[in-house]
Amino acid sequence: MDIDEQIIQDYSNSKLDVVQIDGLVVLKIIKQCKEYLPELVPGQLLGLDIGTSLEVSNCFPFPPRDQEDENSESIADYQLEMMRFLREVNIDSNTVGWYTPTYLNSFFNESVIETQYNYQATINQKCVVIVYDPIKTSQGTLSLKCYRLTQSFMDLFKDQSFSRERLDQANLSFNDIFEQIPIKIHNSQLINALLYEFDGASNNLTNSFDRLNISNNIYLEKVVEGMTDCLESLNQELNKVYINQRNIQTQKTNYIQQKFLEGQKVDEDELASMIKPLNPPSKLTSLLLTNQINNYTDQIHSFSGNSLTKLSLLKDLQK
Amino acid sequence: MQKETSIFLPSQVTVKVHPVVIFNILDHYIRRNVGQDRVIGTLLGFNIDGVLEIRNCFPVVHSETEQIAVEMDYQRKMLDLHLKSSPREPIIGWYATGNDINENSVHINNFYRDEMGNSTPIHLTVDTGLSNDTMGIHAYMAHNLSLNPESSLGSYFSQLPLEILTFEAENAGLESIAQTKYDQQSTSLLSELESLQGSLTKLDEMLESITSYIESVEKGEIQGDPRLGRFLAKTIQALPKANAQVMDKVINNSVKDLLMIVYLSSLTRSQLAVATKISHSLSN
Repeated sequence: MDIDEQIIQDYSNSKLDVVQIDGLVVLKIIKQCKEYLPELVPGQLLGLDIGTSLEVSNCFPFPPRDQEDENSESIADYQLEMMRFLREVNIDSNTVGWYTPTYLNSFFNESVIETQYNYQATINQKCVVIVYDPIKTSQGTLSLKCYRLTQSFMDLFKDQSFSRERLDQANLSFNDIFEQIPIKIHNSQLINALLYEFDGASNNLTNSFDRLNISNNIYLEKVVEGMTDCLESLNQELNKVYINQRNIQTQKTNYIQQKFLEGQKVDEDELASMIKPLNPPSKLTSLLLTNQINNYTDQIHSFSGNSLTKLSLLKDLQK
Repeated sequence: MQKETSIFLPSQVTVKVHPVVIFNILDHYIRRNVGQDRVIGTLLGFNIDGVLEIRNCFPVVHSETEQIAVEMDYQRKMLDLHLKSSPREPIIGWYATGNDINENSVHINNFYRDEMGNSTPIHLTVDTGLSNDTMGIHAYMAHNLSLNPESSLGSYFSQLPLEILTFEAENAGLESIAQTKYDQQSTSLLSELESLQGSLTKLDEMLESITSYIESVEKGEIQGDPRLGRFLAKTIQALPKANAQVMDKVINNSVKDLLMIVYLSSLTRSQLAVATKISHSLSN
């Protein structure tokens, strides 16, 4: 089939297997996130979607939020202008997603979901969010992950109702919200030539040994702290649900008592129609928190696996 | 990358370049229009005490057919956009691909000098033609050769010492990206354990080369370099001398801590899974 049909078919197909990132984008993300530390400034990804893979070929950061212009209009303008200029130098000015730096991979919050939902709904179903952890990377390993909202979650989010019944209907558990997509790095041949040159200069030899550092326990402490915070918030959410239930119950009993005093019997339908339904707290937050805790656990496991390896090596060396 | 000293160095100026800039330049070169021989763009960065750090760059539309034409309007607008997002990186010069510097370069240099408010722009060339089997990256600064202050006979581009500067995070990123040299198609990001294995292999190789060097010096095959010998002695001395028992205890303690945390986190995870299961089964 010809190219137009292929493009339309690619666009409507929402299956995404792999995200191919240019080395240039990785370096740009690293540099821009480092500049704005400790602020976390997101940016836009540009590229093409081809078949079941997404190719990211360039990116640019959003201007940091000033105190003066808090409106999203200036950011939208900036985006449009930037894309227009980039098109003139033949850079793919096609949005395929956005990236955001995070602190300890704690990015499961409502704003991220909303932004990602907007991207996926309005621009392209295959839009992804790339999450980058600057602190972990400066410790030695590049920490870059790519996520997308699942289709089932998108449908749920459209209606904006997160009561328990709806969620059970969808059979959604907490790890069905985001799906992780594997990343592949791709470089043009000219850049490969440059990398060979860099190798010769051997400037970056010192950093491959940062990973062998054993005393990185501060990272572990921070993750455990984050996890305890999440657990506390989860506890609060549960309390809220409990209080809500109790309120509904007291409302019911009050109404029944009142009617009893008046000497009437109450039947179920009247009861149901009379009480004002109190809004049950949205289950979304508890889902997100659970997801976050799960994420922290994963991080702890991988980090401990690494450290245990290093420690056992050290033990053997000692002998 | 090649440190060459210039014969005409008015001030001790060194230039440091981040790898991101060079990647950007190469990407722009790959995407150039048909018929364009070389591409130019603006360099952004700052100057601290004679050390010029080039941090970022963006491409500029230009044409070099009969007349040299650079779209300065485009350049100014892009610069504005960039300054909005990174206000600490003003314009510091311009780049061009290709190895030679001709009179067009002088014109472009003058354009940029006017833009920069009369301070000298840095000119960076990246040799994409790979002449001499190497990708030559050079930095130049233009000096006006003139007999009197009015007219100018020409410009002399003197070369400046250039080195590549990276942050630690950039290093980690570069290493992950660099895997594509071995596998031409595209490579996946290494997991943590794999990269750990990589560092250990490198360490092993280094130790092997050192031991083989020492052995050959002992056997008398190579004349030992006394500086190298002293350096090695200093390194070995730097290893902490610790009591074996104390080290054992410390290691065991760390292992116990880690195991406990792993246990607790798995417990939390299973608890959450059980809770979700219960809530699902209760509602069904």
